[in-house]
Amino acid sequence: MRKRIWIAGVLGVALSSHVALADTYVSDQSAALVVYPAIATGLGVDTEIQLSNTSTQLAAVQCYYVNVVGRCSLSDAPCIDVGQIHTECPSSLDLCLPQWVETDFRIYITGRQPLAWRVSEGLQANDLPLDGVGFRGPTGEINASSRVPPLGDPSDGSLGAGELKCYVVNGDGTPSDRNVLKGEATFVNLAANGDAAKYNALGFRAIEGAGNGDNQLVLGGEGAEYDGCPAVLILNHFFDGAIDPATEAQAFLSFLVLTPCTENFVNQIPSRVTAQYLVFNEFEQRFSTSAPVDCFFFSLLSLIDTTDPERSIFSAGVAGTISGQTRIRGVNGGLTGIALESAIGVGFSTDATNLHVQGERELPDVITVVQ
Amino acid sequence: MLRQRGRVKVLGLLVASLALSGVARADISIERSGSILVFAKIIANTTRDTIVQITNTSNQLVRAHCFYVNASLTNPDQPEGPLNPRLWLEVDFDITLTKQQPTYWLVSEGRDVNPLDPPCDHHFPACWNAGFDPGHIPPVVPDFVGELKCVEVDEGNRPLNGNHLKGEATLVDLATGDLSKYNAIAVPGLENNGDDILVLGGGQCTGPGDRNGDICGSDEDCGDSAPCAFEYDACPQTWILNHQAADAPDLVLGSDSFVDTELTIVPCTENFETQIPTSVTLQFQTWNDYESQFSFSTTITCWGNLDFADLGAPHFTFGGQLPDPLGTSYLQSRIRAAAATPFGVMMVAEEFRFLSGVTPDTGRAAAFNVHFEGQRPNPDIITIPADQLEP
Repeated sequence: MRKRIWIAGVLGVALSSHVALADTYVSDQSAALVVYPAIATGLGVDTEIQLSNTSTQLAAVQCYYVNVVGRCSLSDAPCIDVGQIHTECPSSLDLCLPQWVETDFRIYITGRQPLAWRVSEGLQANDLPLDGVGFRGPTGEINASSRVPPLGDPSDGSLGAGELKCYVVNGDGTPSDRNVLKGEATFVNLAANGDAAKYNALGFRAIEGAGNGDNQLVLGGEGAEYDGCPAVLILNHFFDGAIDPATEAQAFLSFLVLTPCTENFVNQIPSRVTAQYLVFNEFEQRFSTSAPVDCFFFSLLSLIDTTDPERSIFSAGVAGTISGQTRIRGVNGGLTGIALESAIGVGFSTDATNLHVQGERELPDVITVVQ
Repeated sequence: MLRQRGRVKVLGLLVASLALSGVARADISIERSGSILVFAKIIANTTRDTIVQITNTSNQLVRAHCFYVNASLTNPDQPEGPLNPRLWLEVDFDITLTKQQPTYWLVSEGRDVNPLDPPCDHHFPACWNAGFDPGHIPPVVPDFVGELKCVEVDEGNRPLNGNHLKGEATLVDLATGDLSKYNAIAVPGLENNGDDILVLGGGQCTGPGDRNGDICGSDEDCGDSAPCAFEYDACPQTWILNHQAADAPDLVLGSDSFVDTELTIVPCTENFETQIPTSVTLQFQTWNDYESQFSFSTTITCWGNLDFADLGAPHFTFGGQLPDPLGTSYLQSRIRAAAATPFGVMMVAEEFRFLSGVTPDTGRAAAFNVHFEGQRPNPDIITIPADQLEP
């Protein structure tokens, strides 16, 4: 009986120490792992990355760009075939072969320091504020040894699209549980006279003491080291083609970006997750569809379920109302993402928002990193 | 044996309560549903209008009691000051959403209850207000600036902590069609006694005794009137904003451009019964990317929209940073309430990009939510006039 009481006590302590832990990612608090699900450069658009250290001490940060720009099969020229964004290859015989290219880099952010860079240019040695030569922080900390490469190849016109992941590491390069990073990404459209769309990076908070120092970052679920991915992503949107009630002169178009939570940067094998969509209009009527997310998903909403947007369940003409709610569930893996909303008619404008989340996935997602 | 079983049972209950106590409280959120939604920046004037979107994320009917707070200046043509305060006029209305129902309205027009609004079809995409109307939503007055708050209530119009609401606001430039969107801040709720006092970061004593109904932060505060029924999660202790120095050139657009940032702030404590606006003194601590540190403070009453270019603080501006070889464009500001005004705040930010000779005077806007850290140790209180909560 004493043994039963003792076991109950140990179990209770164990339960209580784990119950408060694995939650889902946040986009309004500092975290140890931050994910920018959508970045792009080229075709008149560039992305400004802001990444700050919210603590008073130096943070060593390991980052991964994932570039989904493809290469033409014959000419090896860069090309894009992602969602509705297509660029032509030089020859009609050329095919745009999709790629999933990972580039990793290390940066050192001093206490309370805000850093920023353009994805097309990165940060080179002479761009670093506290280079250790001319300038040091008040406590002597420096950014030296940091380097941020450009996303695309400048010789190829710096065409790049994909995502960025950054996580705090210890001095030996192993993942750290310091929740000190916050970030934002801003798409700036030079072709649209500086139109800008901004979203917060997704923050996966580390669970203190849960990391085992290996190269697998476990998100949620059994053995969680970080917050997990949600069970459901929720998007409030205007149905495609709906006329803006404010100007009465422009139509809304919404785009969705999704990336799998599980990624393996060692084997470089892109993940595939099936996304199930439930769509509700203002009459509480429900529609559904599904589509695969192969490594990186970018689509106009009304091209998710059909090749004819006017026939889509995401179009105002089919849904019957201006606004809708779409609930997105990853069947065989977690998903992260953001939404982009454009208005065409008066001019051209886009805004970006973070998706809402609901529930927690039971199974963990794992990011396997190179160490 | 019976006594031993009893001990095991008590231990099991103790263990369970310890385990559960670790999950009781969450934080405010911009990506999770909540029981109170705060839209800090609502504008409806000749230049911009706002589209509000609210969704019920549950499979049951949900009701909400909403407030517009008009924070326009008494004389809009004059700067804010002691002789020209903000109006702080409140208008309230109710909405009802069926399961998983999304809804929207344009704040300048509101939304009528009209089941005859035609739905969209391929030839008619301007089906404004088609769908189940959530209720009669009044239009705001002309030249409105202020906030919108919605509180989830039950069928008796009593505050309810269902955590079923999410929302967004889209600011639209009426001349250029420029869009700028942010997520409403959602405040999750825990327990609720359904009265007209909403306690954020605390609760009310629910036990018998002299202190029943008193505001409390813990069971100890209640003494004989314990327990303390925790109502809503607390407002943040510190807000963290990444922003550019005012008038700094945009990284992408280059030297012919400049960026301005506005920060819109509303107090967490609001008394709609007495209609006395809350004043909060805010302390800013700012670092640039050379780790140079600066500080600043200002006071907002009822509602504040701070343009970093107009604060009279040179270190917030690119020009103020420029002469200093250690100054540059990017800043991190940590913002908290001063101890003398112990009230929390909620905020949202918006950047405006201007390209010389190209963009209109209003610039190209991009709203975004601000990060936060910690929870305030003292509760904030929203007081609703009791007669507004009668069914």
